[in-house]
Amino acid sequence: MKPKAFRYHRPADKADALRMLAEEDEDARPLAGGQSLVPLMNLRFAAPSALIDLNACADLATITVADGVLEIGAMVRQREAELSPVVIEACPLVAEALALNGHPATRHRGTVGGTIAHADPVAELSGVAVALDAEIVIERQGGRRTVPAADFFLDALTTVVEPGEMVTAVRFPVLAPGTVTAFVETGMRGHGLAVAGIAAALRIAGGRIDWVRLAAIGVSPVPVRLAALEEALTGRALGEVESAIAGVADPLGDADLLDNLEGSSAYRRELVPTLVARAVRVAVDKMGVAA
Amino acid sequence: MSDPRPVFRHIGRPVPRQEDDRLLRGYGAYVDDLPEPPGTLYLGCVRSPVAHARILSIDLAEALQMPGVVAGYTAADLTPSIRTMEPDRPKPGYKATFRDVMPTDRVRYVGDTVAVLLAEDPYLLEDALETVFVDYEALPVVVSIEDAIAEGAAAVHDDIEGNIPFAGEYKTEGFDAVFASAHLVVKDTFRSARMAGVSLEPRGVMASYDKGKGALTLWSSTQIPHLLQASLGELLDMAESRIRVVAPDVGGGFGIKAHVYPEEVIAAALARRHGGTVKWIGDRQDDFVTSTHARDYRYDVEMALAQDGTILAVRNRLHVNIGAYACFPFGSSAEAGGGAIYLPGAYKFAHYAYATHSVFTNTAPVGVYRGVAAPIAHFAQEGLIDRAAAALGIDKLEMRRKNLVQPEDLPFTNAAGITSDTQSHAACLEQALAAIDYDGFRRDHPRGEIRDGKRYGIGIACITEHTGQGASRYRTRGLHRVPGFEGATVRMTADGRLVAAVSQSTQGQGHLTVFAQIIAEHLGIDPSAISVEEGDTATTPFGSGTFASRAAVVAGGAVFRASEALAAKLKRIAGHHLEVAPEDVELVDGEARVAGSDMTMSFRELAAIAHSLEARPLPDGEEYGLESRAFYDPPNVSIANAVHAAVVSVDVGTGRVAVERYAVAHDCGRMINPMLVAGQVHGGVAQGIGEALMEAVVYDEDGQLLTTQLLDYLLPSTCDIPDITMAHIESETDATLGGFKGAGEGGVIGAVPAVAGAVNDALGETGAFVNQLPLRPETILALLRPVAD
Amino acid sequence: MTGDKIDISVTVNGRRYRRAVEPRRLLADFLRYDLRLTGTHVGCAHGVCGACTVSIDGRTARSCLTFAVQVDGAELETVEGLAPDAELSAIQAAFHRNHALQCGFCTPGFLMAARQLLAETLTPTEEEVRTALSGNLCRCTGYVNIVRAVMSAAEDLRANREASHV
Repeated sequence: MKPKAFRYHRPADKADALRMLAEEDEDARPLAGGQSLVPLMNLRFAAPSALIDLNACADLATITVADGVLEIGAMVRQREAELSPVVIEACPLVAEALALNGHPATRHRGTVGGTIAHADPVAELSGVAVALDAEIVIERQGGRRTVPAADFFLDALTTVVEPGEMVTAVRFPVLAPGTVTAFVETGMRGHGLAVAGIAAALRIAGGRIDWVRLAAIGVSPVPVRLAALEEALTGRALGEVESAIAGVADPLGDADLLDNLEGSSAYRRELVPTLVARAVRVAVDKMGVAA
Repeated sequence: MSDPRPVFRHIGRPVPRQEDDRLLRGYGAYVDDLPEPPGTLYLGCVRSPVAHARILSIDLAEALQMPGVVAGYTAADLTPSIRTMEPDRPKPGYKATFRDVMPTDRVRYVGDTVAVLLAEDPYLLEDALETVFVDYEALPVVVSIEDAIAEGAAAVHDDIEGNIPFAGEYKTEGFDAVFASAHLVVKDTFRSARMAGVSLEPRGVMASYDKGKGALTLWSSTQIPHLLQASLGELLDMAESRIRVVAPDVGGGFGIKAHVYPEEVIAAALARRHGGTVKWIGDRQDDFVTSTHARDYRYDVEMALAQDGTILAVRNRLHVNIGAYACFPFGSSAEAGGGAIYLPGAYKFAHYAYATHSVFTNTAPVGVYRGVAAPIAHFAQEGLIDRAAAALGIDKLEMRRKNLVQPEDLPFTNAAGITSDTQSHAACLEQALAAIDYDGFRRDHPRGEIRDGKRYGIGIACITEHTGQGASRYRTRGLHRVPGFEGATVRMTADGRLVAAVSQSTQGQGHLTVFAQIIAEHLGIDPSAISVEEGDTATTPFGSGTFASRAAVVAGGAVFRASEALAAKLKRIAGHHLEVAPEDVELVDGEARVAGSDMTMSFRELAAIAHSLEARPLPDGEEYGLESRAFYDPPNVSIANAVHAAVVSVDVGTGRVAVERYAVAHDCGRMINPMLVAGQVHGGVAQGIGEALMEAVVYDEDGQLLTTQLLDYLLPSTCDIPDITMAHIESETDATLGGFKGAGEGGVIGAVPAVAGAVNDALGETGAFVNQLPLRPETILALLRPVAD
Repeated sequence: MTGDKIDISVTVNGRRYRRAVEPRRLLADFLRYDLRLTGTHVGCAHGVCGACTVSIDGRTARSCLTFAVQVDGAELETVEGLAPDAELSAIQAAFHRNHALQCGFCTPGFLMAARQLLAETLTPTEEEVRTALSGNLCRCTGYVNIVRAVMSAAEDLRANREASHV
């Protein structure tokens, strides 16, 4: 388990990185934290011709809040975002999701942009991005586009990012005051990869759910926004949550479902309403309101 | 001849390990940590990507042109200089089995080695391995037990009819009549997963050949250095005196490393051919693909009972999927034979019948792994007791109490013919129940209650552990290539210090510390001052190696005996010079003392006398030196026992099982070091929880291995194993020297049935019982469904 | 033959090393074979087992998922640096006292992970210890004594801190 040879570049900033990416061939890849890419390289499932190592690009590692948007630079470490008071204040669901992603040693290296760009079906942060309508900033030399998270993920480990492009930031909405959030997941192990997980954010007004955003990870090759459940829950009293969820016949709609060693697609279908109910309960509990 | 010694100074104390310091500082030296001699070549294996096929052609041309590649070999190049392995020699009831380290014409599982390369650098080696082209002609594949024993199934080995190399049968006299007369028969099919041992250190070997001396030194992460030495001699046609095998620090073994592997033989053969050093370090994928797998049993068991819950008879039909080859030295029958005899366990039913079969398939070879078949034998047995209790309306605990072997039954010969002089099931049961607070659990968790989305259950498993098997036991079992005895040398050097060499090798059990404690007991010196060595065939006496919970019993016995003899000699020399009888001399605090007086001689003085380094002579008739060598072959087998108690939660929304609390009451006879005994139990329990809840090697129907990474084959982590409460009982046995029984495997043996039983308990009034491992959340959720509706 | 090498300079356990490395050389291999610091072990090479955990600029990382070229200019610590003096560190001593290691192969990774945790808090709950160590696999101990050792080390370090404040 040793990687294949590659050309190595270490740009000093984003502009430098985008230039190198433009100059390299189609099989070049940006190297962020490497916590997903390097295992694939060691297993020789991935063999990039060149790596553009972003770890020296300080301008990709900033966290800013402006105009109702929390923008996290692609090279912000997962552990840093998880513990960042700015992130916790603006969009706590990001921090909650990252705390479930890997382990301290992988989060010290792993980055926010890296986990989004890698597009693992069980990546928690992807679910948050889809639930909250985050935007992914993608840049190439001389060009920049912003893609809604819902359109970003195409398949397991596949996104709209083209050769010559890279993710440079993720833009999450700053959550309105009073928003409560939860990330709930289940897996074979007490703290391991999820079989399914739910990102949830909601607000209560007058004892009823006023606004709710939900997405599922792990059940499908890409995160699934649970629009039918959001609709069913909106306007419901807290005591009606379970029945409202149960009333949605097919919360996953026509999403392709994963079927693998961790569980069948039928199992994943069964987990979603259960985990959504839990996520809502956990979120609501944070308000100190009895469900 | 053994001194019963009512009061112990060193045996029985929780002495911290002398092994730890260097390991904690990062100075351990596992095979891949050893300095590589200049010019070391790295060995890489081209593995078959198909499960069963004829090899049509192998093209190494491109690989041989790759940078850094020094040589490449196919079986045709290599096998003339390597003999075929014979794990089973023909004997009545057992078919001969064979394995070529590289198959010549036909691959039999994904992972069979078809070619090897030698390169100067491990990175370049991997580059080159990708370029080897092999043309295969596919053959029909058998993966499961059912595939392999079906009428007309493809033969994995042409000379093994029906794919069954070993079958055994047994029936107590009068079985049929008793079975037929029973009030109730409960039965089920119990299946384990196929498992992987996953020592954190994958296998590795480094072989160096000294052309001048014609001598081979081989460092291997092996549990059986002496058997590996013997095997290399046989396979390479070399004198054993020219082969030295060293097991350096070994990063876990659990039985997986107690086999002789093709890479060890190939590395040795190529080191000899190239006159230098050849090194192979398996990576994690190699380990999943080629290290022996484990378990993969199908137990069809029927239990016949009287109306009052007395177990009358058990019938067991067992099949073991042993993969593509039998392994050396245990052969084809270790799992199937063990799996049949473990079953009566802690219960005293009089009638037992079994039919057991080893089955070849196109999967990786299956070998011994901690607990061998015992966890599943007990899973089946405890599972049937749960079913019977439910059917008869008898409390589960009462069923167990009624059927356990009791103190008044001892010595007891069970229905499989295994005799033991001490067992403490009833006492262990009560201690385990107290430790887990069984009554409190029953009070707090009414039957059928769902609390915070979870059901809770408590499981009790009463188990036995077959430990310290001697030569006679291995002969009875037909395992003629396993010696069964162990040896030890205890020596006082001329400066009065103590060193010992033991025939075992250690993979973390703490042998050096416990053997030092035994020596300290006899020699009257602090164990930390005693230097114990293992794992090197050049410096240690011949013995079997480390497996099957034998170190403390068998090697412990050899150390005991050698220490006794050395102590006796020191007392004779001291008695002579102090002018008292040897029996009036005691060895305390590093000196010989005349009891009740202030007359002493230091070990240093005694050592100087024995090595003729001072004026005083040795007594007439004594030999020079202070070295004592002893071997120990224990009688048959010593049966340790334990009761495990587990509390689990079952998430009714996801089906996930979590082990919440755990307690073990454990009896391995006289403990040498209770802290290390607890450590053995903890580790075993964790492996058993993994076996019960998550671990599974999975092949698809074409024989492709789907679990080749730690993301697919799940091991329990810190969040899956609770704290474990231990209670120790030390039954006095004089069946073994020192009264020791083994303790290596009981943890895993008890955890599997305890966790499964707790899940049965949690399923409660659903009436469902588990019968297949691992207990995947999805399966459990399906069992809960009738209730959820 | 091994591709273009790149010069790097790295400090490991307080000692400066300058070496030329091929870009694909994994940090674990660099430490083990080039610097002969073999205390860092490789148990899986795909980031799951944690045996290869080292500290890079004060934070734990998998050395099997990092290339040696990436640590140019960095300060690293490995297990060999935990007890520069004769005395074992508090965490190492607690592992010894509590029998928290058996084969010892995974131990360096656990020590590094535990050290990170106790650098962040000296009052971890058992739950926090378990979560912080959940990325390190051990096959021998069942984690029981590892968790106990880390809790015990935290206690010792708290006591030391209090003593030094007196």
